[in-house]
Amino acid sequence: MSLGLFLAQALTGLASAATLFLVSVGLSLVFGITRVVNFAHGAFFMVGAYVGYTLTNYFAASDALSYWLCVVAAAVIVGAIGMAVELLLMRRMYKVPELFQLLATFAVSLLIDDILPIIFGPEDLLAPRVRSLRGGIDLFGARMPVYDLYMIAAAAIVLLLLYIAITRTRWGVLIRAATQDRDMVGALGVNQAWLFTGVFTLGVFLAGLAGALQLGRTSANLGMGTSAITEAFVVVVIGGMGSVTGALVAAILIGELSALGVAYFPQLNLVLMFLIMAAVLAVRPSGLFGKPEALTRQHEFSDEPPLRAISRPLAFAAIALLALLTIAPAVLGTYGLSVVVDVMIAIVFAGSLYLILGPGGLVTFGHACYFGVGAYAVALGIRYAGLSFASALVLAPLAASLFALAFGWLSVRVSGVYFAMLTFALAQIVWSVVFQWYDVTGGDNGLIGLWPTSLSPLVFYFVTLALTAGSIAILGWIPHSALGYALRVTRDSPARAAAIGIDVRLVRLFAFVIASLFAGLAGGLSAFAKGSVFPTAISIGRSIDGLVMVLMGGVESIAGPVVGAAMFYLMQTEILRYTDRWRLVLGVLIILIVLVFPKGVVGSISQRLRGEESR
Amino acid sequence: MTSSPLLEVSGLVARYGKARVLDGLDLTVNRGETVAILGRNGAGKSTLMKCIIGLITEKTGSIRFNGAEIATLPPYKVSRAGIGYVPEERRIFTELTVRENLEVGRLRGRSNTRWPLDRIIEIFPNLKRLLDRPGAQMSGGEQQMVTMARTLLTGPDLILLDEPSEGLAPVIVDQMAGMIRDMQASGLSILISEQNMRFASKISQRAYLLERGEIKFSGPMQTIATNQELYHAHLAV
Amino acid sequence: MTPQHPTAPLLQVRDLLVRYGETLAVNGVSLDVEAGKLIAIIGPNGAGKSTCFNAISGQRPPNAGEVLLDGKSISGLLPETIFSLGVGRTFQVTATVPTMTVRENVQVALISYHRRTFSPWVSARRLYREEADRLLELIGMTGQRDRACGVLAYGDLKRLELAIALANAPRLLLMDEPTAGMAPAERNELMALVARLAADRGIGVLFTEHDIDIVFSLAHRIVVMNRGQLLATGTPDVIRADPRVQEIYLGRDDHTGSAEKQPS
Repeated sequence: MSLGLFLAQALTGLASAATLFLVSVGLSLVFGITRVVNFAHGAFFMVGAYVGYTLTNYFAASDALSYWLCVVAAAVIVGAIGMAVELLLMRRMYKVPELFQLLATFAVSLLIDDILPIIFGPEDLLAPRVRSLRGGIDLFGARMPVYDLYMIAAAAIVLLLLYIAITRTRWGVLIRAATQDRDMVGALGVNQAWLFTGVFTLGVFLAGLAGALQLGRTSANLGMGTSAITEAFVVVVIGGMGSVTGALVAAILIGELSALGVAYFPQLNLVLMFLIMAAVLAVRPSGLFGKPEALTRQHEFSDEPPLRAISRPLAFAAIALLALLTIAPAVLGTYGLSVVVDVMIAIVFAGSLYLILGPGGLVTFGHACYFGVGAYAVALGIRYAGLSFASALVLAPLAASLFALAFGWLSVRVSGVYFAMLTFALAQIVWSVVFQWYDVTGGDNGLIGLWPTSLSPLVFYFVTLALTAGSIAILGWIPHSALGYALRVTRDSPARAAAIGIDVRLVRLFAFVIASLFAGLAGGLSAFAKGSVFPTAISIGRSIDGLVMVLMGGVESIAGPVVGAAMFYLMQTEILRYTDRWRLVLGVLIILIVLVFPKGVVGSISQRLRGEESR
Repeated sequence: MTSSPLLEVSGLVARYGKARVLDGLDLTVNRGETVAILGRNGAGKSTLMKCIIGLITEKTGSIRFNGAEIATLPPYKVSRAGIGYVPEERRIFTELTVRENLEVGRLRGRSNTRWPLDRIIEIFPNLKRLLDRPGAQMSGGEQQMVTMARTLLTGPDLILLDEPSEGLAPVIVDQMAGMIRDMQASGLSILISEQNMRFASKISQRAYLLERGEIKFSGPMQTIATNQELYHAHLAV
Repeated sequence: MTPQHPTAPLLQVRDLLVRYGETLAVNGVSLDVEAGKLIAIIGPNGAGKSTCFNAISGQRPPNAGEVLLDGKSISGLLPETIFSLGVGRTFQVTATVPTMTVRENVQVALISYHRRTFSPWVSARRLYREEADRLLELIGMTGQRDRACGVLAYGDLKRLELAIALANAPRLLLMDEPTAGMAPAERNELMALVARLAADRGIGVLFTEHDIDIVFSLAHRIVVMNRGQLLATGTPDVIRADPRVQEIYLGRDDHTGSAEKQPS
C-alpha cells in the first residue's frame, strides 16, 4: 500500500472517529452526571440525519453555507426534541432501577424507529448534492473525499467549544462538580434538575449534529440508529463512562482501526473491534479513562421475599398444563400446534433470561446472541455438515454455551450498566458478522429449507414439549440449588459474597453459561420450527422481547417468564393483525410497565396476595 | 427582632436502613448564636447535619427554619433558604481548582452582599495564593478552608459545621477558631458538631450532648465544660 | 522468667501502610492478636480504623507492610482467599442478604465454606441445615430462623452477622463496629457472647467499637489510632491513664490532659 493510500485511509478513519466522538461524548456526558445510559442516543443520531435531509431538501441547499446552516438547524431541532424527552420522561426515571432506565430509553428508540418511516417512508434518503462539498483532493497520489476533511474539522470545532464550555464557564464547572459529587452540588444551592436537562439536551444535540453531518457521506436510513448506539457503546466501554478524553481517544482508536482494518483485513474488521474491547477490559474493566466502579448492591430486588418450595397449587397447575399440552394435538390443527410450539420456544428463551435477570440480578441486553448462535448452529450444521435433527439439536446449546463462556468471561468483569452495554455490544458484533458474512450465512436472506424431510410435525411438537418442560424445570430449580443461593448472594450483597469466600465473577459466569445454554436450545428449536434462520434471531429486538416477557411476568420466580412469554407472544400476534406498527405499541407498553407495573404482572399479583405479611 | 428561633428541630427521627440513628431529637439555634453538638463517634451528629440540609430524606419530625418547614425540601432549596453545610469529609471537588470550587457555591442571580469574595478572603487569607491549585492537592486544613469559603459564598444565615477540627493539627485548629470568630462577628449563626471539646468550648455559647441518637443534656457550654460527671459519662474515654 | 506462649501470635500486623491518592490513611501500624484474646482499635473518625481493617481482611490491599496469619503472609490476598484461611468478618453496615431467611443466610456461608457453591443439582434447602441451626442457637436466634432477613430488627441483623462470620469456623474474627446501631442492652449481650466464644474456642478477635464502655470492659488490649498512626497500645488501664489518648478525644490543653479544666 502506498503512503498516499495509507494517509487517505487514516484520514477516512479520522472522519469516522469524528462521528463516533460526537455521538459517544454526549452519551458519556449524560451518563457522568445523571448515571443514566441513554439507549435512545442512537435513535436521536438517526433523527438528526432525517431532519437534516428534510431541511436541506426544503431549502434546496445547494451551496455550502446553506448546507451547513441546515445541518446546525437540524441539530438544534433534535436537541429540542431531546429536551422534551428529558422533561416529560427522563425526569421520572432518575430514581428508578437501572434496568427500567435502560428499558425506558430503549422504548423511546422503539418509538422513534416506528415513527420515522411513517413520516419519511421506508426508503433510504439521499440529501441533495452540494457540489463544493463533493469530490476529492489529491493526497500523495490517492484520492481523498473532501467531505471527510470537513467532518474532521467539524468535530475539532465541537471539541474546542466543548472544551471551552467545560473548562471555562460556570456551567462547565457545575457539570464537572456534579459528575464527581451530585449531592454536594445540591447542598450548595444548585438545582440539579436544570443541570440534567441541560446536559441531556446538549448530548442529544451532539448526536443530532453527528447524524446530520452524516448526510454528506451516506443516505439517511433506518438502520443507522442501532449501529450508531452499538459503536458508541463500544467507544464508551473502551474509553470509560463519563470521560470526554476517553470518548475522544477511544473514538479515534475505533475509527482508525475500522478504516485501516477494512484496508488490511476486511474480513476481520469486526473481530478486531471485539479483540480491542476484550484487551482493554481484561486490563482495565472500567475503560481507559474511567473510574473503577464500587461493588454496589443492586437495589432492584432487595424487597423480594425469600424463595419458597414450589407450592402445591403451582405444581398442580404445571402438571395440568403439561397434561393439557400432551393431549393438545388431538384437538389442535397444524397451525394451532405451530403456535403452541412458538410459545414454548419463547418460554424457554424467557426462562433462560430469567436466570440471569432474576436470581443473577444482571441486566443483559444481548441475550438474543445465544438464541441466535443456537439457531445458526442448527442451520449451518445441517447446511454444511449434513447433521441429523438430533445432533443439530445437541449442537445448538453447545455452541451457545461456548460463545457464552468467551463473552461471559469479558462481561462478568463489569456490572450494572456496563454489563448491559457490553452484552449488547457483543451481541451486535455477532449480528454484524452474521449479517455481513454473506457466503456462509446468506446475510439478510438467511438460511432456509432446514426442515428435515424425515421429521413429522407431531414428533417435533412432542420433542419441543419435552425439552420445554425439562428446561423450565431445571431453570426453575437452579435458584433453589446451592449455586442459586450463591448467585443470589452475589446479587444482593457482593461484599458479603466475597467475605464468605464466594468468587462473584465465577458464580456469575457459571449462571450466564447455563442460561445461554438454554437460550441456545430455544434458538435451535426455533430454527426447526420456522425451517429457516435470519439475522433477526440475534437482533437487539429479540433481546428486548425477552426482557419485556420476563418483566411482564415478573422476576421473582420461574412462573413469571412462563406467563410473561405466553402473554407477550399472544399479544404480539393479536396486535400484528391490526397494525404493523408493533414497535410503537411495544414502546408504549414498556414505558407503561416501567411507570405502572414495575414488579411485573405475576410479581404484582403475588405481592398483593402476600399483602402486609412481608412488610 | 423576632423572638422565634432561627432553627427549630423537633421530634426528628432518622434511620439508616433499619438502625435508628436519631431518636426523637429536639434542638434550637437562635439568631446570632453558636450551638455545639457534642458526642462521640457514632452518636448521630453527622446524621443530624445531613437531615437538616436535606441529604437524608428517610426521616420524620419537623425542621423549621425562619419559621418555615424545610424538612421535606431538597438540598438546593434548603441551601437557598439560607443554610450552609460544611460536611465532615469536606467533599472538595478534587478535580476542580479552588477558584472553581468557590464558583460552585457562588450564587448567581441573588446578590450576596454579606459574603463577597473579598470579605471571605479576608477571613481566609491563605485562599488567595491557593486559587489555582487543584482541589486534590491540598492539605486537610486547606481543604477545610475551601469548603467553608465555598459555603459562605452561598450567602447563608446559618452554617452547619460538621466536625471541622477533625484530623487537623492543633495549630490549624487554633487558626480555625479565629476564623469562626470572624464569621460570628458578621452575625452568622452556627451549628457545630464536635468531639473536640476544648475547641467547641472556645467558640460556642450553648451545647447539646448527643449520645446514641438522643439528647442527654442541653445547656450553656460553660456547664458542660465544667461538669465532670456529664463529661465522663458522655464524652471522655 | 520463661515465656508462657512460645508460639507466635495468631495475627501479626507489621508496619501497615495504606495510601489513598496523596494521603496516608494508615501509616506504619503494627499490632498483634493472640488466640482467645479480644483486641480493640479505637480512635476518632478518620483515624484509619476501617481502612486498617479492610487492609487486613483483603478488601483494600495494603501499599506496604505485612499481615501475617500464623506466621504466614496474607497481605494482598483476595478477601475470598483470606476467608478460606479461617478469617471471618462482620461489616459495620450489615451486609446480609435481605431476600433470604435467617437460616439461609448462614447456610449459604456454610455452602461456600464446604466448597459446594458450584453444585446446581444440590438442593440448598437442606444443605448444612443442622449446622446452621446450631450456629443460630448459639446467638439465640432459633426463634427467628425462618423469617426473612429483610424484616429483622437491626440488632438481630448484627447478631446474624456474627453467626455468618462463625460459619467457616474462624480462628480470627474481624468485627467492624459490631454493635453500631444496637440498643445498649443488646450491645452488652452480643459482646459478652463474643468474649465467651473467643475464650471457649480460642478465637482471636480484632474489633473497632464506638461504645467506649464495651471496649474498656471487654478488650484485653486496646490499640489507639489517630490520623493514620498508632498512638498507643496497652491494657485498658494503661490506655485510660494515657494523657495523649485523652487529648485526641478532647483536644489539646495547654496545661495537662486533665478533663476538669475550665474553658479559656
